[in-house]
Parts: sequence; C-alpha cells; structure tokens
Amino acid sequence: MKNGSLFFLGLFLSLLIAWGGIVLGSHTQLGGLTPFFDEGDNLSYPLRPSGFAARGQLVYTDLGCASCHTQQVRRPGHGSDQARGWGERQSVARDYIFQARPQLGVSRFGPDLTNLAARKPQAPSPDALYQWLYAGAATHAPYAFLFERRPIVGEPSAQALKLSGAQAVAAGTEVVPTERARTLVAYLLNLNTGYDYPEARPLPAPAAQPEPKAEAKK
Amino acid sequence: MSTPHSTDPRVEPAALSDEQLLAAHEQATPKPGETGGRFPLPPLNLLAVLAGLIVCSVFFLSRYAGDFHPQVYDERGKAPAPGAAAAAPVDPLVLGKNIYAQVCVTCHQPTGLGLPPAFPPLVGSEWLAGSEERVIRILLHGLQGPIKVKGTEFNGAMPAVGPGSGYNLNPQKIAAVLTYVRKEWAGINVPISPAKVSEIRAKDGARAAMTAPELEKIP
Repeated sequence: MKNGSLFFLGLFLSLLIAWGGIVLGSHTQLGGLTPFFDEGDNLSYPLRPSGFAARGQLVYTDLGCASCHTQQVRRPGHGSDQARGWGERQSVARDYIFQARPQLGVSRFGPDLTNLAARKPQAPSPDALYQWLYAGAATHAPYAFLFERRPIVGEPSAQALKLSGAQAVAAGTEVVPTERARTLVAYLLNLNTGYDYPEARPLPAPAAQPEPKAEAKK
Repeated sequence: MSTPHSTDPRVEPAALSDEQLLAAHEQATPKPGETGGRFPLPPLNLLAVLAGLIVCSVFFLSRYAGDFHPQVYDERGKAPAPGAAAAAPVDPLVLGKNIYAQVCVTCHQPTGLGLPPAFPPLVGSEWLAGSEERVIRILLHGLQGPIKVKGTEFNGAMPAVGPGSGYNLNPQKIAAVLTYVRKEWAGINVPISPAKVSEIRAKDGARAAMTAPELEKIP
C-alpha cells in the first residue's frame, strides 16, 4: 500500500484529536463538578441516592429502559419537555454527578423520567408503578417477569399487587414484586431534579427594545 | 541532383519526419479548454467564499457558544464572573409559586380558594391583605383553632412551615411564598423581605401555634 504508514498516522491523529476534544475536554471542564451547597437548607444538592435506588439504576440499565425513556429535560425553545410537565427546569450536568452511568436515553418514545418523583400535582405512587410494570399499557410492554406469582402461604404479602379485571389471579395466589421490581421502583421514585441550581436558571428576558424612542420621533 | 543523405550510409536517418513530429506535438499540446492531464487550480472565487465562511463561523461561535463555559447552557449566555454563579438572583415570585405548589396546595388548593370548613381561602382574605407581621407569624408558627375569614368561621390546624418544622422552609423561602401569594390573591405588589422573617423569628423564638385572638393583638 502506497504511503500506508502516513495514512494510518493520519487516521490515528484524527481519532486522537476527536478523543481529546470530546472526552478529555469534557472531563477537564465538568469532571470536577461538586454538589451545590444550599446554605438555607443546610444540604448539598443533588442528594445522593439510597443504595436501594442505586441498585435500581442497574435494573433500569439492564432492562434497556433508556431506549424509550430519556432523563434529560430541555429548555423551552428546544422542545416541549417543560410544557409537558416533565420538569420545572432544564437538566444540567450537576444533576448526574452521583450517577455512575447517567441514563440520558436514546429516543423520546415514552415520557421523560428525570423528575418523575416531583411530578405535579403528585408523583405516581409505588403501587401505580407496580401495576404499570405488571400489566403494561397500550404503548408499554408488560414486564410481568419482574413479579412472582405464588400461592398464598399463611398471611398474604403486604406487597402483593391489588389486581382486578383481566389481571385478577386465582383465589389463593398472589402476585408480588421481586427484588428487581422493588429496586427499580425505588430508583424511579428517587428521580427528582426539583432543586434549582444557579446555572439551570434561564437567562433574564432580553431588555425591552427602545421602541418608545422611535415612536416619539414620529 | 539528389540529396547526399539519402544515399550516405554513415548518417542515421531520423525516427520521425518533421511532419510526424509536428503532429505528435499537436496531439500533446492542450487545446483551449483542456487541462492536458494536469489538475486545474481552484477558482479564486471559491477560496474567497471559503475564507468568508470561516470568518462567519468564528463570529457565530464567539456570539452563540456561551463562551464555551461548562456552566452556561444557553447559547446566548455569557461566562459568569468568578464566584458570581452562586449569587445569581432568584425571582421570589417564581420560587414562591414553586413552594406554593409543593407545600401549600394540598389545603389551600391550586386556586387559592381553600376547602371549607377546615381550610380557609386565600383569595380576597382580609388576613392575607392585612399586616405582614401576622402572615409571617402564621407561616413560622402555624395556626390553631377557629378563625374568621371573609365572614365565615373556619376551624382547622395549619402546621408551621418555618425552619425546624417538618417543611423546614428557610426565611428566604417563606418570604418568597408570601410575596407570591400576596401578589397573586391580594394584589399587593410589595415583596416581603427575608430579613423581616428572620427578625420576627429571632424575636419570637420557638413557640406553639398562633391562635386568631393572638394574631389580633399583633399590629
């Protein structure tokens, strides 16, 4: 091959430059991002997720939820995320600092889940999420394998799903969430970006145009 | 007389005749409009257009790249001065609306009309439109027992939302939510300052919930 070494050196250099710009550059700029300390609340934000919720993120990753659900709210002008009630503000890098693998998402097929635990007027209850996962919906596949159907031995489980209609199970059996389902729901109900960081605030509205002057001239 | 060359065996004859040589040159010389197998130079205009594009991109990036600052998310934003990011002012009306939706809305309702007979309305309430000393104390200490609002008797228990309570709102948040509620439903455009809330809190200290007769005594 003519000039083979030169070709491969060029290829290597162009990859190196891209890696330096995209990986090293971002890491230099954002790698040292610290939690934001709010003096009024005497707390640092974002709050670190509980161990149970952090394990739920592994289940979320494992099930591939990110292929339909995003976790990134865009500001008005870049999408209707805030108008849909998915978040009060745009997502910023600081929201993700305690997440080993931020699940930003691939496509917005389902609703954004960044701020699920702080939905207005109220967040979904764990029971509603279990129902949703077990039974599915028109556009959401059921994840019944996250639940265990078993005969009731002694007392019925307090965590058993209250099923009715087509989902109802035979008397003497119950459907209980497995540990995967419970960690997943704990993770989902831990997704809360309600805290307003300074960098997340929108720019102040542009100053009023000097219209009155022009009118005065007329 | 014949030419001597044609018969002279010592002279090597030329490979091409003059006519053939001229024809070969003619074939190799590019005609007008032909490149003759060489790469043509790019037109100078194209170079000017490309240079113009680069200049435009530099101007665009310097204007709409948020100064390449990691904490600036709006392309029109400017990099904050060192240490200024934390001091970006919060609009009390926005903060207050947010807190109202988180804390107050359960009882006083999104409309501010309350839920009789326990939760009095805020819309048009004479207490809300009245002294700020009173409303600050209601939020700091809570309110217990019967209270007359707009001619109707209400009897409920409002929990304290101030620092140390279950809601643990700091003075800034209390001032913000009061400012929002007073603007929204009493038409008062004067903001309540966090300093005033802190001052009343320092003066009162920790105490039980207020009652309506106690509030009446406060100017």
